Amino acid sequence: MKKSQLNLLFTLTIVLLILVSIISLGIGKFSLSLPDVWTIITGGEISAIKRNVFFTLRLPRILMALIAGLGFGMSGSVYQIIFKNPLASPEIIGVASGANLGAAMAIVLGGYNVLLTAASSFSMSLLVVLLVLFLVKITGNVATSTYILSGIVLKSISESIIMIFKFFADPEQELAAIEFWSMGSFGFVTLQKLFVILPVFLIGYTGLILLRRQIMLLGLNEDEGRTLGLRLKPVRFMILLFSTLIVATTISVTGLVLFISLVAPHIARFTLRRTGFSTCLYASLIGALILIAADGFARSIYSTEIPISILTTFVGVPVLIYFMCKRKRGRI
Amino acid sequence: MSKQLSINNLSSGYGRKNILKNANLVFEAGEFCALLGLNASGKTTLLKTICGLLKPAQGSCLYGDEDFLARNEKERARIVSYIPQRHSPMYGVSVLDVVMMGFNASLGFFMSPSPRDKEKADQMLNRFGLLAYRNTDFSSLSEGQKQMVILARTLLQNTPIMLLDEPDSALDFNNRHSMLEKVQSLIREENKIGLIAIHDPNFALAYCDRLILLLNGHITFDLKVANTSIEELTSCLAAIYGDISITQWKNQYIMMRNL
Repeated sequence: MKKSQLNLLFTLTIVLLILVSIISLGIGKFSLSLPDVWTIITGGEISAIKRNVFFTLRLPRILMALIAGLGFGMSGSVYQIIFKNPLASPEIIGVASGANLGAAMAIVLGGYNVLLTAASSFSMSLLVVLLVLFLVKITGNVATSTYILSGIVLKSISESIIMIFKFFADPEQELAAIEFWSMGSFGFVTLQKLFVILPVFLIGYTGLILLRRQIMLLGLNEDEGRTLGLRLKPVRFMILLFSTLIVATTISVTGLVLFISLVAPHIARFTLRRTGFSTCLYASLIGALILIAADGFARSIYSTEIPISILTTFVGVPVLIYFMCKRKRGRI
Repeated sequence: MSKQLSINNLSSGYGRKNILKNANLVFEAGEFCALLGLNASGKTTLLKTICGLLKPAQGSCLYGDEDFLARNEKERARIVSYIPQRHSPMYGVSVLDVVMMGFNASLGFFMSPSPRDKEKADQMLNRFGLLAYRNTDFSSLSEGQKQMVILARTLLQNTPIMLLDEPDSALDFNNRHSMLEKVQSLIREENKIGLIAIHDPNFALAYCDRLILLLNGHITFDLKVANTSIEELTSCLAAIYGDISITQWKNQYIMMRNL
């Protein structure tokens, strides 16, 4: 794909993203028509209730979906590059399991306090990732497979502890809350929460963009990268830290959002037919596009809101299958 | 500039087993040396230890009086570069981006190559006749072109010591000659220390100034091609390759197996 084609594709995708966002801003129990949305965006006169719905409900939600999609798409493709594995995603080093454990813990031990749940899931997610890295360190083997194995170990431990919490949870409320959290939703996003997580997200996201050359070097054979002056350990640590910040902040607010970090990079690669850093950026846009669309459906296809993970899977899978069938040779 | 690379009592290997045993060598700038030996004789182990991919069990490597093995990967990559037997597959990465990876050791973590670096990269591609391919997908090039791109990348890394581990193993007869010709002239022109592991002794005899023969992890002979008589060459190489003869044709030596 030529550079001009690439620029065109990026522009078209961004335009599509803006269109889908504007449509999605109107969708919901209290629906705003497209002219309403336009009036609010351009600062025209409109009823207070519509303005209120727009600024306190819809806008934070769409922005959150945007951030989450950008983050999942980016970190998913970075993981696939640095672990040289098309099935890698931030899951494999335990980010999601840690967040899930933190949430379950807060729900059962701390009553169902939304802020406490977010804080607890964020810190447990960081803790689990750090434990994975610590486990890698004490094995003294920095091969990729050690990271994956350590991830599996801590993921399993987290999951059994979650089971303990579930077992002792009150089935009416706590158990339901744990289950509901693990299905994900953008329904609890507020402007305040958004302001809290935005800086952390930006640190992680900018960090990954700045480290793009190192990410590509980590994608080479280890020996080749190191003799080109890649400082394997500190660079890998920084990349894992930045992507964990992105994913952990997001899911601490939204609950688990499955599948995006896996499917977006594949769609990006199949579309661009290349694997450079531009693919990571494109995967980021695709992630945002799918999440904003999925969240729109979550608010509109049933009388109550549907958990987001159900929709990301239903939206993502057909697209992925389409590209799998379209792909001629199994190269990328 | 021209410092020596000295290898002192170096032993190294995988796990507890030492493959390379007590190597002592000194290399001068402008010298292109071949490491010859059969499989598992320790050629790759020696190269990997010098470039810091393997930790030596004992001994040291000094460039001038600097112990570069004690440095981190990045500082080391400013002194030693390495061309592996096989480069990583890179799909959808442009040739220009591949050669610019060579600047990594001289850039900060978060920095990108400057426009001047880009210009240098273009000049390097031009020197290899690859400028027309600068925006081409690396994976679509032929093996010969790919290896030239990797060589161009290594030259941008601009290190005084260049290590090459059978860089010719995937190349055909013509590409093999043109690659070795390039490396030889570069090492002489830019006064670098070049060390190449190679399987075919005829190519070593044709392009290298010095032959280091390895047998079971020991350095058995260390010969300057120009100062060695044909008889001596024959007897030394026979110690490794068995029943062979060397003849002289024009000003080249040619080794053959006696059938």
